[in-house]
Amino acid sequence: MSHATHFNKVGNWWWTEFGVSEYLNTFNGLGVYGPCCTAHSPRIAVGEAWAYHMGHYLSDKKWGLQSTTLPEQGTDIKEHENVLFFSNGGGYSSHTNFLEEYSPTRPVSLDPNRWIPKGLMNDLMDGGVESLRSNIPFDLVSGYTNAQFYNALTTDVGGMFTYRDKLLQQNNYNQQNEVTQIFSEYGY
Amino acid sequence: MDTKQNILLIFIISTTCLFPTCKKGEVINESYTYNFKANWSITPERDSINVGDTLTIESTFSNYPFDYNTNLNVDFSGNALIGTSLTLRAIKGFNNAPPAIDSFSFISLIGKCETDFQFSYIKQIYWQEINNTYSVKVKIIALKKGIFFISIIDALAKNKKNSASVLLSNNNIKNNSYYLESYYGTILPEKDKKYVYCFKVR
Repeated sequence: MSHATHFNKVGNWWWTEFGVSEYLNTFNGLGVYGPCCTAHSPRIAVGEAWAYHMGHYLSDKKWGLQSTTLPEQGTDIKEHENVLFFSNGGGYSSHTNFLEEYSPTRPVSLDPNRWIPKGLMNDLMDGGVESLRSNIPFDLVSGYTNAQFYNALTTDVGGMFTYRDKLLQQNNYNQQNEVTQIFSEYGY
Repeated sequence: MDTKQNILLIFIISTTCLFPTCKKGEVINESYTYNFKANWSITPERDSINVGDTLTIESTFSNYPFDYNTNLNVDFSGNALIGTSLTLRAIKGFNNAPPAIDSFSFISLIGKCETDFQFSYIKQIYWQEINNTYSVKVKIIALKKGIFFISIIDALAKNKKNSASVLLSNNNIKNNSYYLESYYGTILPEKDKKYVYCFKVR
């Protein structure tokens, strides 16, 4: 559903490019989405960052503490190959815990798709102290909304750097330093 | 292309490429990934050291470890690739805890300790199989003064047959987390404390 809303926003051309990028990038055989730092990966990072964020955000709203444990990170989440499991705990659902504890820093040889910033939008939304399981001790930004994330998914945004700039531009550069910092913690 | 052709093309691409996790009738083997637990520690255990002093970061666990998924000890021998990331940061205030890899020199004694290709402030550490155990041992020598914290997060692992997650905990009696708590201005949750060790270099 998150992909459908994104398609509705950006239209056929962007979405065809996105589909072709995912198709070509996985030829390299690294995880589900292939390697970072290719010509195709920037568009995949944008599409999947939104999809993972909204997917887990809405799953949390729907299932809350009835959510099941879920596999993530690692080499192949489809085949459960060297994955971590995220569970309900601390009063939060497995979905919220995953978004909060997602780490973009694990070795590429064991987590080749770490470059997809699955927890970034959650970090832009939430307040409080970041989970140290993520290896991101910095998260000083809060208060961004899903509507703002969605509005910044424009047709000219084909990578995380342009997405960051668009998000800031559309929101009067709200918390610019903190936003820039949290993007950099994810490698962007 | 007209609209119908566009819709058809998008449908084909979507069903073939974008939803690889949604194969109809697919059965996922829940026990495919083992779930191990291991400790890491830092010696000597002090809340402050001097410039030039050495700290040793170490973690060892059996290559026949207990699996918390099946509640059995399992054979995980065979030079498995086991690794995770280590972060070292300076604590300088609420808005300021910059990476501090350059404040230390790293010496790998067992296993490997490498700088990440993308994040220059992240060290990737890898365990090595020795004498029926997996071990990693890294010495760090303090080069600059400051207050620092080390964070090591859960590891991922795979050998030729199986894979695993390795849930790591710091098992120092005192991890001096009050340094980090003063930075955050709040008490750290217990589950987070197990990922860190803090200390001062005088």
